[in-house]
Amino acid sequence: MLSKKQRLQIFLDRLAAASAASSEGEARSLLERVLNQVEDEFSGIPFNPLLPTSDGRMYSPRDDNRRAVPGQPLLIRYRSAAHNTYFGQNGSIRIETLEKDVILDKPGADGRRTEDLNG
Amino acid sequence: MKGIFCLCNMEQQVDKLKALIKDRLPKCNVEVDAPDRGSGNWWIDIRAGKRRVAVEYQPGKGFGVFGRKAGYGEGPIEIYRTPEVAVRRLVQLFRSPNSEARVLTLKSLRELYDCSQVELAQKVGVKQSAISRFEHRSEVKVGTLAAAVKALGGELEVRARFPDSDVAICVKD
Repeated sequence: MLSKKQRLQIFLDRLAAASAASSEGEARSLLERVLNQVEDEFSGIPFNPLLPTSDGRMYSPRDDNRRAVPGQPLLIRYRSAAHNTYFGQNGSIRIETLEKDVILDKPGADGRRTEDLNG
Repeated sequence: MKGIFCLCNMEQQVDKLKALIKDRLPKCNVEVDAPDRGSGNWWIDIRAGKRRVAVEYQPGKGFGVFGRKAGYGEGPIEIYRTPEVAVRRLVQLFRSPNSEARVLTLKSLRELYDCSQVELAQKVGVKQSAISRFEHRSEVKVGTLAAAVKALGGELEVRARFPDSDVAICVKD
């Protein structure tokens, strides 16, 4: 089994390489699918998102952590402990650390990234 | 009206946590990341210098405290139902630079619930020296730990997780 850091990098690499999504919903599904596949292959921890505390496995953004992005109606943000994940209506995805380091910046199917989506 | 009450109640819980942090950890900076929807989760980021602890308030569940190296989308390491206990734990984490949300020693647990060694010894029915020895041992009997946790007002649960199951183990001395 691999470390969290190793699994995160594989997840980011695979997500970046995957075909672009064309909507927010598709982008969320894509991220969830890729992350679950990586965790199934390399974490050794069974999928159990209902556990109240950490089991050491990474999970995709949850609806109860959804936030609008002020001034950017085409973007949605999902907060987690150490990251913000942005989904664009065009299927783009951006993942940042809380220190604003961008670790993934994937364009949508129309070629635009989240930063290109303006009102 | 019930929905408005619930939203106000959630916000009150977060405001109470903020006020307690301001009182007990005055050097810490606190930022709140509020949800759009009333039923969503609140994030409270507490910073002091380079140290940061993230707390997620889930309405109906409590305040989740995260480890320093929380993975992407990983859940909290510890959960506290009230802002008062959550802040006591935050004080422990910020006052001891090397402490980490994950490993809670019996000593930390006892102090979290504001109980001295003498008080715990009386509740368990042993001498204070026994509690002191117990807190310094690297291995303890499960039954003894269960008695100590019960004396603090809790219940010890031992679980075993396998790839195809998740079960509770009976704790008997």
